[in-house]
Amino acid sequence: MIVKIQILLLLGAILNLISCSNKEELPTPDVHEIRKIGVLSTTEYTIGKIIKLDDKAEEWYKYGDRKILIHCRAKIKAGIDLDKIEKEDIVVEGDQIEITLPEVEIVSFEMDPKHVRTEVENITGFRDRFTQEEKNKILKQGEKAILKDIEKTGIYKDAQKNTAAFLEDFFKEQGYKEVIINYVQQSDKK
Amino acid sequence: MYSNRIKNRIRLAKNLLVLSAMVALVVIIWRTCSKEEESNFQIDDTPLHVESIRTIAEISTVSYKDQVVVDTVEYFKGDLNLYDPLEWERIYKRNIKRRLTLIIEGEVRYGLDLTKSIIKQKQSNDTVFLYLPEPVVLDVMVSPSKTEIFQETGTWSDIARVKLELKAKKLIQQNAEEVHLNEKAKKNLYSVFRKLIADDRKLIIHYE
Repeated sequence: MIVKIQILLLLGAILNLISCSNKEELPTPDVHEIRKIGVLSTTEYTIGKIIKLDDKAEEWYKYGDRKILIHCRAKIKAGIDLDKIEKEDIVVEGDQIEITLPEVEIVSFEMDPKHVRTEVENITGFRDRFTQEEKNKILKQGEKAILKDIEKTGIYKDAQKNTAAFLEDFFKEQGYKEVIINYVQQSDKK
Repeated sequence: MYSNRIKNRIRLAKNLLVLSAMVALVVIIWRTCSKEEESNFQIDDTPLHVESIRTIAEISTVSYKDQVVVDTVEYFKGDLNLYDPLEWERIYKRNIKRRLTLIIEGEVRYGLDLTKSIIKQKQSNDTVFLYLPEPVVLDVMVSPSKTEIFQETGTWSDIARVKLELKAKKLIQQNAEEVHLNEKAKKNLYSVFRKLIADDRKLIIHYE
């Protein structure tokens, strides 16, 4: 009886191993989107941030602490969307040109994985280590926090100044003696 | 004698059952106590540190968005020993010891980098000539908000995750290069400059 059970188990295991000995190939999705854009970027800020988390357990039986410090670096560019400039925003009068530009905005955000580093990870008691999924959630919150606080850094002011300087040079090369650069109604964040 | 043998086997089976039940109970209690629930943790408010500021001049005219799947698997080594109950886990896990699968969406931007070069212009009464550098890849953007951990079994180090993310970034850039977006970038650059040159003169762009 025991021998029969062992033979059955063995057969089952062989069948399973045959079916799973082939390495599963992941499908390669063919998903992409190509879009026409017209973005002028004139300022690039490299921002560092220490993301701090102290995960205190709410349940009484979860004895211990979980703390983590992650250092990340983000590259943020600011400028204007040239597609938002309409024909009527450019007014030429002789050798004077007046252009009304859209608000400066954050045009790109990148957080290179190479520059993400866990500085400290402290787990005590019965608590589990942070999984990669949890660390990704922490980084998502960090990214949100950077975008929320970026206006305090002066990036918009710099982008406005640099955009105006770039376009002034461009139009002066075309022969205009006077170049007037306006921006649309600024929002409070500037 | 025969009945004694049967009695002993029954007693052995009962003891094994009780032992298995005790082990299972300890495991369940340990897992319950140490398992982290779907936590609503919130990071602390820490300041930003501006590490560098650069004045740049880039005109992006094509955006390529792509989504890639990257995966790393570790299999159990050696032959399966059916008589070892600790090895039965291999059958359940289809011989996969641990696996990390990420789905990452990225964006590649093509356009002009005028930070180190200038736009050379020549003009006549009816034509404007612009001499521009060739469009290049300006940005390959990935970020945590566009990264999904699809599957994570076993314990994985940060280095393993970073390796996968960099592999995804490289894949996205390779996919963008295969689609030859240079010509599209040039066509779109023409529309951008056509708008900026606010008169009826003809516009001719040369790429150097």
